[in-house]
Amino acid sequence: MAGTLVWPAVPLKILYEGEAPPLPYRWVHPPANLPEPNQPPTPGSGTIALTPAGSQSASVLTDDGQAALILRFGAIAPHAGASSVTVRITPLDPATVSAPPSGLRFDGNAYRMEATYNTGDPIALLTSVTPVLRYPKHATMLLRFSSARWTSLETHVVGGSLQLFGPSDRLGVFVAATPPTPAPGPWATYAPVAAAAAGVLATLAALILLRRRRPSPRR
Amino acid sequence: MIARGHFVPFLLLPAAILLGCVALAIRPAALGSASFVVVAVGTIGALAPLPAHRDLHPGPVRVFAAVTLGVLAFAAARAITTPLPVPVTTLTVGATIVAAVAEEIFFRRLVYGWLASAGEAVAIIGAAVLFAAVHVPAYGARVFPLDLAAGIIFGWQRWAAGGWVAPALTHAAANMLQLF
Repeated sequence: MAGTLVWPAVPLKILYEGEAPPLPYRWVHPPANLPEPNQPPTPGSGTIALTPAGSQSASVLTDDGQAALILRFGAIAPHAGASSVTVRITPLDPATVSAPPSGLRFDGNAYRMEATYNTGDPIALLTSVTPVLRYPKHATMLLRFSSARWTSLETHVVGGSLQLFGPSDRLGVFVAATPPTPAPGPWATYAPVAAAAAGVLATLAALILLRRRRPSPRR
Repeated sequence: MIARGHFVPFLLLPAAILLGCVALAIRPAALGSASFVVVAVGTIGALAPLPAHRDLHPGPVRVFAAVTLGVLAFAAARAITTPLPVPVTTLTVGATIVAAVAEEIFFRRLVYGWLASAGEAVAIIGAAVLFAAVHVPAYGARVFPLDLAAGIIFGWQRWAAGGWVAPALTHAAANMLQLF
């Protein structure tokens, strides 16, 4: 409880372990040599009610779960005549937005996140919002395209579920990116399996040794 | 030099605990081999022989109360935070339940049981620290205090309910609260 009060503004994973193998990443523009046929990514949308203090807290997720926008209570300003806000998330090929910044490469789709009042007017943000992107392989940075260039945002990476997120003071187009790094070697897969298997062997050895040491019953 | 009779408790059990923790800490992000690691760690926790220890033997009412209090604590934490959205599939639900049970068998049966000879408080805190530490590589340093607090709740349940089933039920429920 105390810990959650320290970071009430950012999404958190409390305990949840994403051990399930991830669904295959859905690409707008799939890279060559995908191991299985690509499924196109899906957009997402949601309607958020407005209160006199601003928007309700909400999460809007694409149907395939690859992108989301999290809004705290009051993130969107109230607006004369408006009773709700519609949020839309649209997947894009990031290469069609702009080339990546020097020294970086994109990892996954870009997502346009936009919102309008039900009056049709563009929304005004009162506090930062949190875009969440799933990435396919390895990403370390969340970029936002604004003022005709990509801007790096404060990024939190959750490797356990291949997700990253960060606060943004405006909506726009977001993408995950990383410096070009060599792919992790096979040790990254085999080392934890080997450690777990060795632990099982140590446990079995302990059981066998204890059984041998146990005195035989007196006759 | 370690006496022969102490070989198992002084070397093999700590080795199994260390290897299990290392495997959990470096398990690959969201890959199939992570499932193997979780099942193997649960197996270590279930099979490992433990030093003799006198547990409480509470009745079902006390066990139920421990589970209820734990679930309420996680529900309250869930109510004031925003979980990272993830697609909910049958596989996701099954994997998170298996992970919760396996981790509780490992930390609250084996690690707690191994440390309990030094006292219940050492067992509760020690198991909670290891539990929080193995989650840092995958989920970031920010989760350490949260998972430490969660581990202390599970450890208290282990003590109060006299076994690992109560924390396992609570851990599984807490994971479900993150999904839905």
